[in-house]
Amino acid sequence: MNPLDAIALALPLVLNVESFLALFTGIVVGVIAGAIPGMSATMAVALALPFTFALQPITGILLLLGVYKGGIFGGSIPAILIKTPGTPASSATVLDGYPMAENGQAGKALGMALYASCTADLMSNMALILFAGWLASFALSFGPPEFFTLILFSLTIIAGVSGKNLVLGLISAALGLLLATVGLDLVYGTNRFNLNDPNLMGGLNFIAVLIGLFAIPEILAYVWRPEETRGNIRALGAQHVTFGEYRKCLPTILRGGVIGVVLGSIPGIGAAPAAFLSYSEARRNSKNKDNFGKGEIEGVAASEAGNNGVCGATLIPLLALGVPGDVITAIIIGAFMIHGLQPGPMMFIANVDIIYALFLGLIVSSIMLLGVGSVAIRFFRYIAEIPRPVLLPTVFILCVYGVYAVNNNVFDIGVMFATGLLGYFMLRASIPPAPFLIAFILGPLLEDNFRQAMLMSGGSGEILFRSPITWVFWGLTAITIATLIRRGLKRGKAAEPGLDALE
Amino acid sequence: MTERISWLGLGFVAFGLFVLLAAIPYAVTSPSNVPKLVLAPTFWPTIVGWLIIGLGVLLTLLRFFGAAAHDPADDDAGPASAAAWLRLAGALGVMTALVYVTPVLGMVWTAMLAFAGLSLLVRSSRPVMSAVVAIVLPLALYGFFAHVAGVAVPQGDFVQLP
Repeated sequence: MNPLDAIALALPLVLNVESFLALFTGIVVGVIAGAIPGMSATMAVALALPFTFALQPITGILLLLGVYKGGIFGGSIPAILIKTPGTPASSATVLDGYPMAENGQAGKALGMALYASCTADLMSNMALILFAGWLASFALSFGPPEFFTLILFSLTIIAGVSGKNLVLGLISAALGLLLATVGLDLVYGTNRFNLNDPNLMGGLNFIAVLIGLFAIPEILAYVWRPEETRGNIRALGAQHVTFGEYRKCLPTILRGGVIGVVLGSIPGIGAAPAAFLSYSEARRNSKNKDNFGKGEIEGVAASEAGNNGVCGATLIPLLALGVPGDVITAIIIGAFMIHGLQPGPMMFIANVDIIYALFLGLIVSSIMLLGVGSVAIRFFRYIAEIPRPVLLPTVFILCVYGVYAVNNNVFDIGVMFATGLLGYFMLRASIPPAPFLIAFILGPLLEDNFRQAMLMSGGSGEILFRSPITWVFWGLTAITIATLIRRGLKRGKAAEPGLDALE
Repeated sequence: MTERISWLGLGFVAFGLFVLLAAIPYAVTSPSNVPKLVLAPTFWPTIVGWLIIGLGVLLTLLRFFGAAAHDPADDDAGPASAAAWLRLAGALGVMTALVYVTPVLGMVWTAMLAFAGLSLLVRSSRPVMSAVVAIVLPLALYGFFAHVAGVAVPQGDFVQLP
């Protein structure tokens, strides 16, 4: 089917009130959640997921993508106004955004953050449209051995960017792999850690694990130390971004967008490294190098373009290969599955209308973000003043209803609490939860493809090296591991020996 | 000497051993006619068990050979006062009760009580707002899930909602 036919099929799915309303609601929810320090875009997408069950697949997924995009932008508002990034992706925005706010230019900083975000977001969406189909057509020739090596490579990358400590990131991923084995064995149908309990035969509920891991630990952490952490909110100021300033920053925004697209399309990198790389490149190429860190508008443009440039690009591996680009797209993959869709190359054949509807919806979302963002900037004061003693119990109740709604089963609430306790232990032990979740999702795919390959070859490992594609992925995996070890050893020599060596 | 011991690392070694020696033999069933070891249901969990042990050993060694290495398990999320432990235990109590009380009281009423319980634990500075949200939120969510999403929200044995 040619793209024009696909667009013709997709248009009725997007051009309706439900889809526009879903996108709008998603962006509003995302911006609000991103703007509340302590809430994250990840948590917002996780909490919004159960509300999409009653919707059509495309409407539900558009809502979640709206939350994702809104959340990433929303994080920049507190970063600029109260020096507290709403999401990790906005950490680089603080560097110049807050000094601008201190100089009475908060309105200008927020305006530039919004325009840079929307421009980079649009670039990212265009990259998705251009490259996802191409990558999917290439991936159609993949069999189980190729998918096994691809997923293995994705896991090594994710482990490598799993936070400060590589070993703890790997342990987190190993725990995720272990929990993913709970349930009936897919080949022989025998029990695996399910203790003959029918509730566990299908494995642990993905939504329960996800919400338990990302929302419950935050609630327990607040219960442990119930303190209000509210910064001094800076006034917006009278200044706004002029078209001349936007034009002056456009090369920086375009560069940041490209960096975001490239890093976003590689599984596991995420928005925060893209924002920092974009910021450092902008500084290196700027005439106002010395002003960076003191309130340079180009710095705000660079970091926001970097982090929003990731949003569409993370969907490239998700849609084309079925591999999540980051933790939020890992949640969105769950939404696809709940609606009976399996992201991957086959989706470009079986559900091409939904794929193109998503593309169209994403373009609309960039324009909507512009409108919602402008309003959110003015109302931030009210968002920031939501008291945490009310907010966190609210999140708790949303978790309970949301998890129950997946299977109409109270048992899943228990799973959520158990995973929440595990997540709290991980939080206290500085073990990052993201590798856990991604391994929990990729684990079954890794195992299934491995076992299918073994069934095909009668148990011979040679099949895992059968084609140039598998050799490429084995090579990339080896290079990634070698790079990680080399970087760890270098840091170990430069800094203190010991655990920090692998940070 | 004790500062060189990574309790976290040793904990993971112990957990990995538990997986290999107790959990897999007890809770993973493998048919006797499996033609190849790599196809057995126990193969993958065994690999993961060894991976956990290996990483636990690595964590322990890094701590042991690092002169002043920092153990992430030492990280403090705040003052470990008796009150903090009590609040945490209270929150766990709320969670446990919620699972067992929901089928009896129904989700709406249990959620209201759980909200109130958590608000009391953190000593909400806005008691009126908390009380209002504790009542309105579970009802609103019931309305959405029961009447829009078609979810059979548990009603309990006492008060039935329309």
